Amino acid sequence: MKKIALIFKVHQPFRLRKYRFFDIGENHDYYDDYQNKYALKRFTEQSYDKANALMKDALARYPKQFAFSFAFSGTAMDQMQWYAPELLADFQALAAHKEVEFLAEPYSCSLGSLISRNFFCSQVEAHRKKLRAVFKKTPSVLLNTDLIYSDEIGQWASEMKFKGMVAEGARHILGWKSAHYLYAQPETGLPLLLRDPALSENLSLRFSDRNWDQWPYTVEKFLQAVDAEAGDTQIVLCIDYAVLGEFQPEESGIFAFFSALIDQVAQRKDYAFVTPSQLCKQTPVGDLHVPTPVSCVDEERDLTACYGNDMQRDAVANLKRMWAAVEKTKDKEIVKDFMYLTGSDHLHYMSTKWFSDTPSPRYLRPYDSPYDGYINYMNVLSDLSQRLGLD
Amino acid sequence: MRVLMFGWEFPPHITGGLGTACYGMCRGLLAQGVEVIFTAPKLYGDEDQGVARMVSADQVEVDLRHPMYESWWKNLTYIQIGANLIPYVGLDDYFSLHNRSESGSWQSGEVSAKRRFTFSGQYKQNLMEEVERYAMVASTVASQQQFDVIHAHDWLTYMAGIAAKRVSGKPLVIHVHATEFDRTGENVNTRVFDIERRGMLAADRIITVSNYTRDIVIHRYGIPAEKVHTVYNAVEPSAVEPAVEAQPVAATRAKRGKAVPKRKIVTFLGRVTYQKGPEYFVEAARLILQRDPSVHFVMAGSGDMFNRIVERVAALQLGSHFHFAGFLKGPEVDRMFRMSDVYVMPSVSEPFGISPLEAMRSNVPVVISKQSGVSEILEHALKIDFWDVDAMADAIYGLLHYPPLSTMFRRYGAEEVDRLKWENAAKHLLQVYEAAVNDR
Repeated sequence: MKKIALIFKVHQPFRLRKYRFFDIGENHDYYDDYQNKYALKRFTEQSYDKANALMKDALARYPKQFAFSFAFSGTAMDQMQWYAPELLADFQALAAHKEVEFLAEPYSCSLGSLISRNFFCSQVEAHRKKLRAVFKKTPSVLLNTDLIYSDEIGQWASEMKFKGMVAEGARHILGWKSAHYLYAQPETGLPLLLRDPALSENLSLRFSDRNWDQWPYTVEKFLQAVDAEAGDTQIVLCIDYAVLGEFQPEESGIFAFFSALIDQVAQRKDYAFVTPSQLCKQTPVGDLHVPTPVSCVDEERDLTACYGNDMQRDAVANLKRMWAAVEKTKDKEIVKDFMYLTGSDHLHYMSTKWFSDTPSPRYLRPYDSPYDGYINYMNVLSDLSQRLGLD
Repeated sequence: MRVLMFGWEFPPHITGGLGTACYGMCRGLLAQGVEVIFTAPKLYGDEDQGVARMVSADQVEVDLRHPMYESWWKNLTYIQIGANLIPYVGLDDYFSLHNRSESGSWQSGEVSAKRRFTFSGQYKQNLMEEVERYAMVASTVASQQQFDVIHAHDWLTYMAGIAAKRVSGKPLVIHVHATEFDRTGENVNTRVFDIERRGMLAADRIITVSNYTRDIVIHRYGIPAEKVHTVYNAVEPSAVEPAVEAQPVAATRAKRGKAVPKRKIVTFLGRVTYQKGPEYFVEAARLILQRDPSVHFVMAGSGDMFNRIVERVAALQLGSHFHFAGFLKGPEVDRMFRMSDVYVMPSVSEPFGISPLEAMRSNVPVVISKQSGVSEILEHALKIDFWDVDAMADAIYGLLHYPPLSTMFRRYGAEEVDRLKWENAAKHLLQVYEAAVNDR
């Protein structure tokens, strides 16, 4: 039996407005409401509305057979509550199906795992609460920002009583092993679901690339690749939900692909759609050692895109320093601001790596240069740190 | 006395001190009864039209058939004219082509004997081209205006000054605000050095902004000392009363009910480039933060070393206390000074340095490098060698922690700067003009 788990990431960061040195101490309004609203509206029109319609249709046509899951960030939930309640209601309608599972993640897609254990745990706990409030779901599987995973993070997940965790099936941790089996964290036995990077990125990155040797990509090609591996395997596809329509436009055929995929898989007896928690109930085939963090970003599958240069390290060092004061503060606004500022997107904007795999229109790359990103971000942090009473 | 002045930029469209100095000079000269015709490559129309007659080179119509341009035609390899002319065609053929295209019997592209040149007035890749075209326009301007003396500012305009002198026969005074040695150390750009030297040799008199620069002109360019005069720059009196402004800032803080203690701020304001020594400022910041982690540093400006400095600050993990305000213009500069407790100018080689004067005018104590022209005339400033980061840190720390020191510098510094008026500088300029005119 070939099990297919579809995980869709839904995330919208809180983009910062141009915050100058003169604003520090004077102005505590950090966010670019216009860009945030615009981006959400655009994603809704290009992607979310149509993708939700597709999923609803599939759930209606294949009840009890079609299943998938969402990794819905806290900041996305907040933004939809404020700017697009009808969209949120649409997602809530989908959530009402028990075949639609929700995963846990750090609230603002932060790099909490780099800052400290208890910051990471507080972020995940805040997300759990929000998920219960908005979607009435209780998550049992954890998915970290950028799929960052290491043995230590797996330990923390186990201590937080999760039934499993999603990680990247990167070649440098697997070696000869296949990503299509269930593994376990060595010390705790926590089940690990490994995303298949190639099959996932065929859809998210390469789908409309005419220079790709598999273009035009079809469901047949996908199934052929899966069939080629004998035995009972599991394929974990984890992509941004906005791949459907925004990152891969409708004209590329991405919606048609998913529609056909759902049809074909539902009709074949030797294939099944599963949710992550169902996969975690199986017995792992063996341990997987990941001593240093692995992620799903760039070819290196590591932390260099968000924690690779001095600017990023300085920013994270400052967040660590501020966390001690944020933990103690009673000011909810400050806590909320800190949470939004820890989003990994801010660090990605400071990256000085030459080739990045995401497309970059203005609302995805709001700064002209990584240095501008760093300066703007540090100005905001400086104001927040003044509010905390730190010098 | 009427002066035909060639500049490159004019406030408010400036990138450095050159424009500010020209503006001050025009005002000072006006007060001395001297009329100025100020020419720049590109004026925008929002400059202060009251101080001088403004001529924008990109509005001047140049007739290339005029005999004065004969030498330009003969020396085509000497001047790169760009795409305006067809290089293989002689003068007669060129104008017969022109007539043919005028009569419509032959359509062609850009062929014109009477034309205007476009200038950006900035510092881009085609800078040399702009310098040479500016010189061509200068010939036309000189032939159309009446004046007694020509005054050209910095190497960008020397060619224009020389061309104007050739056409009009009037004496040329060049004004050295900076030399190539200041800007690039020892790796001088030979083309620029060449133009600088040519300007100095063709000039009847040379004005330098400090004795520091005068020495460079005499010893490194080989110019006889009698020809070179030092006239120090000055600074415009402040538009805003600094003491009064300090209160509103404190008041708004108290109003919001937050007892936020004002952060101590140390400022660097200038181009972020080799000449201004920004990396020494960063090192001094690092030393001070080791001793007093509550101080905040601000670097206001942009330049070719900007990204490197940002990376250095990040590598030293000073990002929480070292801020970048970007390039500041007009009232933002004053606002920055009002927030500052100390102003630092760690220049590696500064011919004069107007910015510390602007800081002192806003009641900010200053720490300046000894390798600067302005240190020759200031008493109430802490002077250090630019490379001596320990002394720099020491001076800044003292000003931040010993109130009497800071108070003294604020008061006497402001008084000292009040005495440095452009009118006084203009008197000296007038003396140089008269010497140049009387020489002939």
